[in-house]
Amino acid sequence: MVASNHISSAFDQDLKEMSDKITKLAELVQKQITAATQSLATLEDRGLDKLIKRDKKVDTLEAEIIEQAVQVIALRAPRAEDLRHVLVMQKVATILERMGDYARNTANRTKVVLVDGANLVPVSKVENMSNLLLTMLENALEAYHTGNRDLAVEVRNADVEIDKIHTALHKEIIQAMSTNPDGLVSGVHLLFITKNFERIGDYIAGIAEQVYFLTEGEFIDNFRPKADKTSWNA
Amino acid sequence: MFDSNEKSPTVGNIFAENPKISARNVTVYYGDKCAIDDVSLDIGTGEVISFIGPSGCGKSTFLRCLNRMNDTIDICSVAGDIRLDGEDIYDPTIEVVPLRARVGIVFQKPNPFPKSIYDNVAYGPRIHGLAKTKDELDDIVEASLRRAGLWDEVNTRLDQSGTGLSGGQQQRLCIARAIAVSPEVILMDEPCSALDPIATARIEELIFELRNDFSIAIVTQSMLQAARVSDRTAYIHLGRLIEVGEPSSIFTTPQHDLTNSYITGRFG
Repeated sequence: MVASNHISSAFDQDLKEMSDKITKLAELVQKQITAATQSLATLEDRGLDKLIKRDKKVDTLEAEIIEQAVQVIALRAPRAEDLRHVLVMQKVATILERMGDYARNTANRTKVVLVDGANLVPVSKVENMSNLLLTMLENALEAYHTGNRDLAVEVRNADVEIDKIHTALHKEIIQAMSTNPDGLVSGVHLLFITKNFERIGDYIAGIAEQVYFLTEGEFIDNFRPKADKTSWNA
Repeated sequence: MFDSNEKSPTVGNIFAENPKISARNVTVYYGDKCAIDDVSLDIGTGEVISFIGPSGCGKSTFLRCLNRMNDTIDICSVAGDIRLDGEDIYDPTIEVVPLRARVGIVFQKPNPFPKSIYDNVAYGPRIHGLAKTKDELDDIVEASLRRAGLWDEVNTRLDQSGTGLSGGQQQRLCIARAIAVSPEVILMDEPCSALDPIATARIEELIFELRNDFSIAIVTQSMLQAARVSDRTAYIHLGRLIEVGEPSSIFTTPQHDLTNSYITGRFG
């Protein structure tokens, strides 16, 4: 949904450059989540160090987008949909960067799990959760690029499935830990990993909410569906 | 969003709760060229309303209708109804000089008289007989210059020529001159377009301070200025009043696509 047709073509160019960077950042974060999942799913280190190192690129891109947003606001004084677009791109960049942090944190913890003992990993369920996240992210990005409000709302509501999976996995891992004292360290890291994925789901829903703001000019209601019950689980 | 291809009615609320001026179905022609096309709008008591739009859209023409400045243009004809406190200002029995004392105007280019600072401000009160004594006139001059934020800068040189002041000071002198006759409405036609940012900020601060005592209608090419100073902003396009509303909505979520195109810089 790149705003165009301004009398000032340089303004169009600024917005396109920012939007292109959002696309690049989103692709990078998708790659990070995929890479983190692969090592967990295969129980093999599939380039976790490279993933961790790549997080710097995520940080750099986010900083570039924020810097560009400041420049556009200062130099172009955008209004209406243009202003929303700049604000949304800046916000989405920050969200993507946080998602990248969770992917990196997952990689760090996965390295420990692979060394300490991977028998507690509910492989297929973690993979399933990650695949759902990647589909949500893809849809959120499509909603952003096409200005599809309905798809954005759909993505936001899909986060409830991630919450349900997280709640189930949380329970399952705690049960496994209680019967396997040797796997306590791995178990704790797995709990954090699944929590990371749950938070990534929240962030993707946050991107969807930004798309809603972009297209509608107002914020969506505050009642995002939630189903994460882990805080209440014994 | 409203379609630009249709001749749609004005979007937003044209009414004011306590109108000082009510314009209804105002149409203005210069010869056979329509400059204002069926515009209806209230200007509220104590309201600051700004008019924005592309050059030549008719915003200054509309402003000049409100104190019959267009009467001075032979080929200009005004139809419709414009009322000041319910009184038809185009009624043949209305005299324009007292009307223009009630509805003052400040122009784009500061135009002080080639007289002293004092006489620039005293001119209106003198011809309208607002002061009985020299002391009363002195008081009016001082009060007007103070309200225009100019007193401290000129009180030691009131006998010097008004044309010797800086551009920003000259514009504030013109505002003091307008205020001196105790108007109810002040029309401002791009009052800051010839001023630097500091002088502009002073005028905007002045508008802010005057807003409770006067109704102010300001034409501006600066959308940021319209957003900063006004309670409502009206967007005029090819003589039509397209949209009117609070700046916080006009500049963030305009309802008409013509307004949107203009404020986002998409007009070709």
